[in-house]
Amino acid sequence: MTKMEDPVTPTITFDSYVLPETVKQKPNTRAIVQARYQAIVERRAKAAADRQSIEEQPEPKSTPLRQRLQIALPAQGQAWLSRLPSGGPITAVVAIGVVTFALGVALALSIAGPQEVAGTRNNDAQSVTRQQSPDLTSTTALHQQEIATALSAEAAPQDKPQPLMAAQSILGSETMLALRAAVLAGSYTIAEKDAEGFGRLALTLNNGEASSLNADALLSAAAEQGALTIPASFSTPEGQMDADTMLFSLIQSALMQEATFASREAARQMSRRVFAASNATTQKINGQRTYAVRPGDSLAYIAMQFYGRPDAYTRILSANAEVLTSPTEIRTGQRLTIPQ
Amino acid sequence: MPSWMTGAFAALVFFTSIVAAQDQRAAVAASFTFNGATVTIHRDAPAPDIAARFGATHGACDGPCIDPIQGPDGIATLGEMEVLTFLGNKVQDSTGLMVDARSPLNRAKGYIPGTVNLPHTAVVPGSTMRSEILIALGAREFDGVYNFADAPDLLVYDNGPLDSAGTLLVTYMLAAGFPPEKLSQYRGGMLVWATLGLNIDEGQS
Repeated sequence: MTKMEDPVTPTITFDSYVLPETVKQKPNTRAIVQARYQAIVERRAKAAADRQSIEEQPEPKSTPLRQRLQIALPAQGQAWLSRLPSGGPITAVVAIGVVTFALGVALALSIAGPQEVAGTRNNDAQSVTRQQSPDLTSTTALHQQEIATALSAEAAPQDKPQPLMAAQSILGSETMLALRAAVLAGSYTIAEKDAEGFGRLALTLNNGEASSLNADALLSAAAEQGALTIPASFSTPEGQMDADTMLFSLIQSALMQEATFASREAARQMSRRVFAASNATTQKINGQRTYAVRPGDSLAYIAMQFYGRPDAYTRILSANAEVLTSPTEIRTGQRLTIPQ
Repeated sequence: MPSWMTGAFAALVFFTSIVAAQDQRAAVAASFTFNGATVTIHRDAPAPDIAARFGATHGACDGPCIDPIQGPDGIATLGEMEVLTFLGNKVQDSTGLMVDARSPLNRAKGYIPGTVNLPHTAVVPGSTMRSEILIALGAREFDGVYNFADAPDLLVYDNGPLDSAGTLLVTYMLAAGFPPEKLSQYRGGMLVWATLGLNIDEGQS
């Protein structure tokens, strides 16, 4: 008998019927349950095997598992474990449970163990790095290469190569070590000191040793003896060496070369302090910020005041290329453009 | 020396000092150029309703809300004569600036001619416009620190001894690193300025 086709009601086939979410059976529930069951069975079998192996060895003192069990279980528990009768299904279940617990503890310990070791190793590594880093506070001599890099940061292209050994002995001197340590500790002041009628920014220590630490004299003497060639950016209009700025630059460069967080932060702090302490005034001429060179100024000194770093003098040099082809051409009263 | 001679001498000294004082008192006036315009300070201004305009205190405070004669960090406190000197010399040369620490709303009630508004709230540490305003004042900025070598001397004022706006501005400027020797405060403020009959400007500026 053929069924009458209804032209209005759409035919609903099984394919087009959407099962409501509430009615749907979770597709993988059965699989999950089965997998879990399988895992439990396997774990119990493994635990039973382990227990057997432990029981087979009466004094396995060297076995780490045994040791860990001894650590993990309280004394009472261990005594109770030893008193357990061998045989019977309940005993077997209890034993399996205990062993499973012990295995869990052992696993946790085996995870925690190596981490502890790794931590110790990291500490060791840090201390090794610290010892190997250039440290002017230590009495060991500095690496020549680092000094070369520190000095070449200041050196203008036409500068002569640095006499490295001399620079090394200066940086390694007690005066410089004390200065650098003080800068690292932050116990220093950058303030104006009177130099031949003009206020000049200079670094002094807070602990009263400042008067005995005559680093300027040290650098000047080294330069006069020919032991230290002055980079052109430190030359003054009078043709002398700007020792204060040279000193600032040497310490700052050494700190930056060290490249630890504390030393870089100390170098940055030097920049911030010298920038804030500067009394250099500028005028706007044709929209350009200009500075009139004063006696005793060097290009590095001017750069230090406006940019916080003596080695930023190249910015001023390139902005004043028309009047200044070399840092040594600096003259008192000269108006230099200071780029913003 | 006879006693009458001593008396006469004392009297002469006394009257001379009075004449000198009178001379100084008569000189309360100033004329200077500010922003290209000539500004004049004189003493024949009609007395405004001073207490209503400038007597209000700023903010909350416990105890007597009156500024001490000495500002924070030992900065100089100026009287009216010193203010006139500052206006006539430093503002005239553009080496100094007299700033009103009050809000624009308070300033609109009356302000000292030749001064600019620098609300203390604009330079409170953490304010978003702080850097911009300090640079506009002539400061240089590097890595969060300011240098004020190119900035003019600042003379700060507010409503008067009852108003803390001026002291707050001074505190904030010092916190930004403004050198205390370039900072001074007119403690009398609008209250004393107007009471003395010195002329004021009104409205938006």
